[in-house]
Amino acid sequence: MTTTPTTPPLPAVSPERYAEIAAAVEREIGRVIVGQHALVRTVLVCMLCEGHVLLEGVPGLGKTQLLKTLSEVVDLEFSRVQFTPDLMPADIVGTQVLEEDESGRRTFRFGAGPVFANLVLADEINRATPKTQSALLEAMQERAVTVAGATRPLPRPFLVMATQNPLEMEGTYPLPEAQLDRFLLKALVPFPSADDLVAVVERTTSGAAVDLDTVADVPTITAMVELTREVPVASHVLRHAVDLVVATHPDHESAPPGIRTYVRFGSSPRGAQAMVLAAKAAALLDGRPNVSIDDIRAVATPALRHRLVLGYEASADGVTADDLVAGVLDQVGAPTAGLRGAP
Amino acid sequence: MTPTEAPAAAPRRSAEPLPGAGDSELLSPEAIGLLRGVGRRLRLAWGFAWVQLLAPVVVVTALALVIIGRVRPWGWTEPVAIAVTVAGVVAVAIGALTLRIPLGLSARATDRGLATRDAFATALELDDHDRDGPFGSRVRARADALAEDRSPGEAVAVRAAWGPWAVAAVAALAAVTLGLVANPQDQIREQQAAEQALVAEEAEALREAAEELRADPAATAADVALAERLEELAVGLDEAQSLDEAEALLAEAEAELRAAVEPDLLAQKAAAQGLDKGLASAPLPATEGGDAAAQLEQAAASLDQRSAAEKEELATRLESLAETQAAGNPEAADALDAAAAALRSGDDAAAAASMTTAAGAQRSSSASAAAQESRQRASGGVGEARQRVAKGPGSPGSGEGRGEGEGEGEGEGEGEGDGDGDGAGSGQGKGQGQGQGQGEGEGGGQGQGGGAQGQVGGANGSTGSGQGGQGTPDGTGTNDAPAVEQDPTVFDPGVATDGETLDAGGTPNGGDSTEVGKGQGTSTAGGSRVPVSGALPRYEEKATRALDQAKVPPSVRSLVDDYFRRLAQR
Repeated sequence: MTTTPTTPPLPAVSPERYAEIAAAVEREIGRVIVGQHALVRTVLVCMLCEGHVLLEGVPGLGKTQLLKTLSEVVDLEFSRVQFTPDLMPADIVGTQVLEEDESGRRTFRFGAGPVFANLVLADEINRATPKTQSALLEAMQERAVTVAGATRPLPRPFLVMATQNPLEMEGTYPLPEAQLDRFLLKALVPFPSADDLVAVVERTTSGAAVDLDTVADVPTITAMVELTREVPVASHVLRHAVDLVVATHPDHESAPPGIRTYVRFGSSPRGAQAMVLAAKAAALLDGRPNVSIDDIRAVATPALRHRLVLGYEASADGVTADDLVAGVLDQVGAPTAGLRGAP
Repeated sequence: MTPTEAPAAAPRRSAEPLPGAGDSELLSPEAIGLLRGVGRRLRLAWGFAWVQLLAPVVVVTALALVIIGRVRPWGWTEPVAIAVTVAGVVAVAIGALTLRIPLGLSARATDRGLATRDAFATALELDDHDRDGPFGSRVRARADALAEDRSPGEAVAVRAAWGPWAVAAVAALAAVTLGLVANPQDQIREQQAAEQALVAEEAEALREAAEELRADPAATAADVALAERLEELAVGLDEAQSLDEAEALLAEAEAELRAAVEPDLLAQKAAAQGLDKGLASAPLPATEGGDAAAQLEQAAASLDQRSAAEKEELATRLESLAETQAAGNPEAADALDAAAAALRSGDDAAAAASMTTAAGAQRSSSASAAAQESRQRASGGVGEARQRVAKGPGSPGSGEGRGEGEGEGEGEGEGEGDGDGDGAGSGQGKGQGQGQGQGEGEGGGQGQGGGAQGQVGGANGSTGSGQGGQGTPDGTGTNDAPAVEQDPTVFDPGVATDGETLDAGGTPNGGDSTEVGKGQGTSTAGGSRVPVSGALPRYEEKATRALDQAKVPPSVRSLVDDYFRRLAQR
């Protein structure tokens, strides 16, 4: 007897529609951004998880263009803040402005800052002072800002995409670990291949303008964000994410030698949360209704690389966080059925 | 977040146990059938994996045991090798049959084997929220779709690793080959088994002897103690690890039992039995029969009814009896003499008391002799067992032995003559002889062999001859050619060829007295030589048995008794 599953009333966005919209977004972005498919996928995953993303790469690789394109494709409100050392918190969250009406009566009006947008591009976030950084990071965490005693929620979905330039570190203020932890994923923006670079040059030096299609609106994206969290996860998959996080702690027995040598502090629990959430979005983007071990392992590096606090030995030996996460993945390994002879 | 960011090949590791999957009804029968088939397949794969892991270890262990069995005479190595192999197979089989494989485990194995990205495991773990959500039906439908046209064999492949199997095959072949080739240790093992059987046989014989002692209705406390000692000795033999140890135990027991036998046992026994049998054949006057003690007591009780002549006759008889008891039972002899004297002096009361004392001494002597005889028999039995153990179970030998024997004997006789006017007389004689013999043998075979001892009974006028037994290459062979022994004669004046003539001591009473001679015989060279101390116990035992015959007169017993006593004193 074949069991006929009874599908409950579909939400505004079904899983199938979810995958279609995501594919359309990627396709439209691909019309502007040459290559960088992994980067596009990472940003898309963060948007669908309503998680913030930190992009690190040298200038000129299309980070800003990617986010602008994304905002156009999904019809989300976009704002950009260029972080500089003289940037003040009010320049981000907004401030009270004294206004005088026609009758001469003066009142304070809240002038919303650029953070009041669905997509906020915090360009070169490490160039602002910690005070300014913390203003944005508080908004990232609370998804609300408090000015003059009034708390004002930020629009949903709210997604901060911050960029960092790994060069020109002079006069920068590296983000503290606690603030880095608030980014769902950290993506490295690679230099394009020669072929991709040829295409980039062709597109950017010609007069042809790309007319992007808007494939989703705010309600659709909000529904997709909610749907992402509904994806079921098997217990052993969840456990594997936790095992990976635990293995990043140098004092834990499952930690590989590299972690013990180069890591001062391992990932916070947010690392496991980020992996599971990102894996859910990745599964849906892949057209699957459940999270797999491979999904977890695929997002482990972007979810954990910025959550490891490395010691000076790592810098001295040229060991990167990505190397250490790879060591963790090797050490922990994909779980088997737990039975000799079983696959 | 691309596949390239994940490690290409991550090692597997064991995961935590899965929760029980009790929601199998949510999946299609085909999917459930696939998972159950995977469970059976997992059982097979588990057993195969363990066999593959253990086979080299078990077979190499068995091979090592077989090799050890070829260099050491241990009989347990090959059976243990077989047992280890069988135990390994049985353990894996039992483990595979009793292995608990929940459906969740099958689901995870299926997911990994079919690369279904955890579809089955997730489908089995859907909770109520998931089932009612947008993904419940889709997860189940996906699992059902993935189960179509898939077989458990695809999910769980049973793959053989050639390395372990090659090692196991080579080791097994070597073990079987060595097991089939003749093992040089087998002969040693057989020898050890024969030795153990011999020791066990001796232990059993000791137990039977002890049982007989206990079963005897007339068994005394000494008999019971002796039985316990024999049983203790049997236990010691059971626990003995070698023939030497068993022999030492037997020698110790033999010495212990022999020490408990008084040197004049034969005299005591001869006296006691002689008195009983003498009075049985010629009861005391006016008694109703019975043993000697009873007759003495009856006579003591009826003294007041006897006439003077009868008392004189009784006194004479008592004196005669006293003489026969002088050697073996001095207490009885003294009492009998005292009784005779009292009778002659008319002191009936003293005579009665002395006769009662004599009766008690007779009973005591009989009991003592019986007890000592038991010990002596036991000692003899233990000694024989010791000799058998010392000789070992025997093994084929090819040596040759040669022995020479020489005997010497001394004879000594005493005679009593009692004659009457008709010229008829009778005499008693007592002789003593000693013989010595030694045997030496040399074995051939591999050039050296231990010749067995030759034994010869040297006696007065007798000749001893001995023949060395076959030696064995290792000197422990069976002496299957026992020494030829010429029966010794206790005393035979007629063959004394060069002895001095002795007065038999008899007092002629109008008749012809008999003279018995005392000869210093010359021995004839025999085939072997043994020290007299080695032959004496056996001779003594035989003589003791001979004394048990009713036809042997008491005087002869005293003669034999003196003979061995003197030998022992020398």
